[in-house]
Amino acid sequence: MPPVFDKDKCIKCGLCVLDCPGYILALDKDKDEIPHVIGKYKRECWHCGNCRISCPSGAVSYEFPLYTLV
Amino acid sequence: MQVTEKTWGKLIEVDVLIMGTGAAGMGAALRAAGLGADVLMAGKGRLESSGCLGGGNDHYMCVLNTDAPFDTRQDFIEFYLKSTLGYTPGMLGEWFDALEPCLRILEEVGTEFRKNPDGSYYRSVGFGQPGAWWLHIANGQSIKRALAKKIRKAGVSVLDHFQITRLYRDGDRFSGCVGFNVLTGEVSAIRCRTGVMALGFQAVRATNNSTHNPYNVWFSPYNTGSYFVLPFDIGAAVMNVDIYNRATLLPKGWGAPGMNGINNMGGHELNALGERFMGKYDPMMENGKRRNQVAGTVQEQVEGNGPPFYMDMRHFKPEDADYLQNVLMPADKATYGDYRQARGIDFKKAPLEVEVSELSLAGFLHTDDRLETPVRGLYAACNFNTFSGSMSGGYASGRYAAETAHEAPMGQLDEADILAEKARILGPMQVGAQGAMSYDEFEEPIRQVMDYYAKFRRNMPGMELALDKLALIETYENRVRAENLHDLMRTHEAFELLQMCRLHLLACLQRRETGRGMYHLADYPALDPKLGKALVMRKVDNEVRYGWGVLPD
Ligand SMILES: Cc1cc2nc3c(=O)[nH]c(=O)nc-3n(C[C@H](O)[C@H](O)[C@H](O)COP(=O)(O)OP(=O)(O)OC[C@H]3O[C@@H](n4cnc5c(N)ncnc54)[C@H](O)[C@@H]3O)c2cc1C
Ligand code: SF4
Ligand code: SF4
Repeated sequence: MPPVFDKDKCIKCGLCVLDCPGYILALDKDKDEIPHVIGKYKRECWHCGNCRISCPSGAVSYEFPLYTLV
Repeated sequence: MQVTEKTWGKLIEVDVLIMGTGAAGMGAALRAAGLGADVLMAGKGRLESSGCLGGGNDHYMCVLNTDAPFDTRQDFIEFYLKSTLGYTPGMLGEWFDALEPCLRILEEVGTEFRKNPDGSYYRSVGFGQPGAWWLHIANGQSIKRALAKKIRKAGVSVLDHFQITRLYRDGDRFSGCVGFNVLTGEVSAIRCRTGVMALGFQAVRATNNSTHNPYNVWFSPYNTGSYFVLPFDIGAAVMNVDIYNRATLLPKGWGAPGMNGINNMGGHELNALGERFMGKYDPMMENGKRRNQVAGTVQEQVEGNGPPFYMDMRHFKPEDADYLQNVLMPADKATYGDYRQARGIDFKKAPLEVEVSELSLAGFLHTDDRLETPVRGLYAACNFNTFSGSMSGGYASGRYAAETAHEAPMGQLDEADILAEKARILGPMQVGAQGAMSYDEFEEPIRQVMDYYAKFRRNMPGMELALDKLALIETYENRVRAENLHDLMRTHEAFELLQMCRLHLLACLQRRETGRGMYHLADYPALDPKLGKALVMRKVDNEVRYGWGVLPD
């Protein structure tokens, strides 16, 4: 569920961060980072898929927490 | 639109202010801009992705006025008039008249509706409706962005990332709002001639599903009741916040919709004993009223006939099962395909385990036939349910907001009020660490109360006790500390959730019957035909007043 970012595909545009309606993603352009889920807020992901829909380079996939599988 | 920098933030002046950037806000913006109005949309998320439509929708309800059975304006109006929802023929006419123009807009921006070989729309029946009113959408994930592009091109101003925290009135007229940018913390005040309220008719996070993660839910968890709490505070009336609460079935453990497609294509619900039981609860079985499916499943669970519960699609033609799981469901929830893969779900091979979802709170705002609330110049856009209802409600209210803005005066906001609200907004950032609590620590007990006293099975003394416990939680508001702007946003959502739960309980305590809402009352277990009316609630002189089918004085 919280997204996983592929560092080889990500072009660090930040669109996923802007489009996340839960505001749970961060990307520090100064540090030349790829985006990450802010750990403290990872439960606030609605798995809406907006981060992937926004991504121009197909860098986003999803992992589902254990509690969604039981 | 005009923007003035003030010492406390920005003062924005616009003719038509649309609050909310979901399907309803979008319908309103397109209509008002089409009529040449000066329009600003303000919303907490980003226009391209916010609200329930952000990750997709797979069905659009549309009565097309053709020769097909039950496909006319009259059929549509008759169906919705039968309910206790409090609609008038005039309101329903507004909804109906907007259906087709909204369908055209959706097609124009590239929405792919499934067609029959003869080119007509493929349609199916659902929700106990008499006709085949549901059009199927294959590319639901792209609708929000495509509409956003059209709106930005139409010259509508958009204030993204803006959380509205308070509304204002000037005499009997709506005058504007105050809120803050959730990324920068900047406070702005917006004054306007007319406003469209489009903040979403569902308040989520009030109760839990089996996963106890309030964000792992069916509807957008970032809505906690602004559509009701904010207008109620300035004297607008809320309606049906007792019986219009919502629930559905979810894939077990995962907050995704999908029952529209599963039910209306003919899925069978089974209990743990392998029985298809829905015939006991609705003459149309799984494809009847969603309330009956939820209530039926809860009843089976109480009797011990489940869990587990399943939706069985193994009898589908293989191409239908594939269409449902590969096309419709991912169009409804953009991550469905990933979940399906993670779980190894295949409708052709095994039934899908499901659970009863969280219960979210909902209702309407009281309006006249032109969707104007008792606060003049404030129009309600989210009073009709479903995607088409929201977009149509927006489309209709956008028209009246634009037309009235010609004669309406510019709303006045009092600077002292703005400063007081700014202090309230930023207050949680100033709370010291000593004895402080996080927004989660404040919000969890609200769900604890609602889950325990006010879920699918309840009674009057329990709900009264729940109100007392919410009052206790409220006394902790000044201890909630926001360490950053994300926390601040959630803190205000949590404060609103508490007020929303209170409105719901107050309304439920008035309705002494069972059978119209999603819940069962042990002390009033039967339907009371005399209560077949909408319950209207309004604050007058700081006191809550109630009216059955009428606006209380
Ligand atoms: C995953 C999913 C699939 C669905 N599938 C279907 C379907 O196939 N067919 C169908 O008919 N219906 C479907 N629905 C329902 C339908 O999508 C909604 O009824 C409709 O989109 C609601 O639109 P809205 O604009 O009324 O509300 P929302 O989409 O909830 O929009 C409310 C907006 O207000 C903003 N907001 C809220 N509070 C504040 C605040 N305080 N300040 C500023 N902004 C705020 C939010 O950010 C949001 O943008 C589905 C819903 C979901 C969640
Ligand atoms: S799936 Fe939605 S809520 Fe989760 S990180 Fe992506 S955009 Fe945000
Ligand atoms: S949208 Fe895609 S490319 Fe852009 S920052 Fe996010 S993951 Fe990277």
